Amino acid sequence: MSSELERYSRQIRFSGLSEEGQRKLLNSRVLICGCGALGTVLAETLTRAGVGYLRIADRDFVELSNLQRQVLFDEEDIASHQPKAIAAAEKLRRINSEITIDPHVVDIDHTTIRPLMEGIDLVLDGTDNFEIRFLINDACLETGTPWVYAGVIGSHGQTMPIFPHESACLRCLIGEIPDAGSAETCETAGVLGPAVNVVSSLSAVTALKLLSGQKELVPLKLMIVDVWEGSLRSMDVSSLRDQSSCPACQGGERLWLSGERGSQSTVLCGRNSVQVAPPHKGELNLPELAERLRTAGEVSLNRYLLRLTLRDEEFEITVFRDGRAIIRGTDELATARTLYSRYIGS
Amino acid sequence: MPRVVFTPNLLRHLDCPPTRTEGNSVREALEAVFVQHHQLRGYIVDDQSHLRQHVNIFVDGQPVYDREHLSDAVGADSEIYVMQALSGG
Ligand SMILES: [Zn+2]
Repeated sequence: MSSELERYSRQIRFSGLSEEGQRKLLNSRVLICGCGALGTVLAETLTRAGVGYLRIADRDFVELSNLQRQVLFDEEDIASHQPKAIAAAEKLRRINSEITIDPHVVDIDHTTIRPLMEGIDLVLDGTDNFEIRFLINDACLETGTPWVYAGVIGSHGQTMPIFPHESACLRCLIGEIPDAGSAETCETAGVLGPAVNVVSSLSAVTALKLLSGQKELVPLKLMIVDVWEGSLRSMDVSSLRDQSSCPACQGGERLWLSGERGSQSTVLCGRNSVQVAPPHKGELNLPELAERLRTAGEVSLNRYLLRLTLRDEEFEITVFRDGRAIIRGTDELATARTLYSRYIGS
Repeated sequence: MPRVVFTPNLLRHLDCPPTRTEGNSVREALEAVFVQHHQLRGYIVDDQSHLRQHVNIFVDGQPVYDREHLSDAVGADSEIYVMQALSGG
C-alpha cells in the first residue's frame, strides 16, 4: 500500500471498500448542506474516510446549546463568534490535511444552491428545516445529482437515499411540508446526540458506498431509527416513485428552485431569532459598518461577521459579509426588519 | 389485531403510543384509532378522508398504494406505520 493510503489502511482492509474504493473516495466531491448536528458528524466521518473534496455550506454561527451534539465545535468557537462552516473547516483540516475542505458561510436558497452544487457528485442533508430539504430535492432533480435525506428529532431519526429520476424523491415520500407550528421541532421536542450520530452514520454509509462506485449496494430504503426505544425499521421505497405521480420528479415542478416557495426572512424557530435577508445581494464592508455602529452599542468583529449588542434594548444583531443578519431578541419579522433597516441599511 | 405506529412527535402536544386495533384495511384500522385520538383525524386525512400530503403510510414496510381510500389490506399481525418527515438536524 502506498504511503498516502496508509492513514486509510483499516478501511481499505475492509473487503467492501478495498484500495480501489478508497481511490474513488479520494476523487469524489461532496456538498454538505447545513453544518449543525447531522452536518458535523457527516463532515467528520467523510473527512476521516478520505473523501477528497468537501464543500460545507452553513448560514449560522456557533452557540452554547449546539455543543451537546454538534461534534466539531467547542467553547472557543463561541467566544470568537465563529461561523459554523469556518469553525468546522478548521477542525476538519487538523483531522485530515490531505483533502480539500471548502467552507461557505451562506444561506442556502434558490439563488445560492446552483453554484454550491457545481462539480458535486453527491449532496448530503445536514439541514434543520423542510424548506431547504425541498430546495435540495428540486436542485438535485434538476442536475441529476444523488442526495441523501436525513432528519432527526428527539431520539428518533430517518434517512433515505435519493437517485433523481430513478428512485423516489423527497416529494414522492412527502408531498408537502407540515403546516408551520403543527409538528415538533428540535427546539420544542429536543434532540439526543446519539440519535443524530446513528442517523448521520447511516447516511454516511450510503455516501461511502456511492462514492466508492457501488451504487448497486445502496438499498432503496427509508431507514427509521429510534435510539431510546432501540428500534430500527427499514421501509421499502423502491416502488414509491412509480406509484406516487410526483409533481416534482414526474411533473417537472420546481417550486423551491424557482423561488416560488421558501421565504426571504426566516423566523429561526424556538430561538427567539429572525434571519433577515439583505434587500440587495452584495458584499458588506464589515469594518466600515463596525465603525459606524460603535455609538449604537457594543460591537465585535471577525473576518466573517459583526456582532452588535444594542445598549438600551435586548437585541443582538449578527451581520454576515453577504449582508444577512440574524437578529436575536424577537420572533417578529416586522421588528427584525425595522432593526435591520435602522442599523444596517435598506 | 394490526398495530398502528406513529412517527414520534407527529403532532405537537399529542402523545400517540403504538396501538393495537381492529380492522382489515388501513382505513378501518385508522378509523378505530381516530375514535381514541380524534385530534389525529384532521391531521392525517383531509375532509374527503384522503391521506394528507405531509404524511405517508407503510404497511409491513411497504408504502400504501391507495392514498385516497386507504383500502390496502392489513393482516392480523401487520404493522401500519404512519410516517412524517422530520424537520430537525
Ligand atoms: Zn418525486
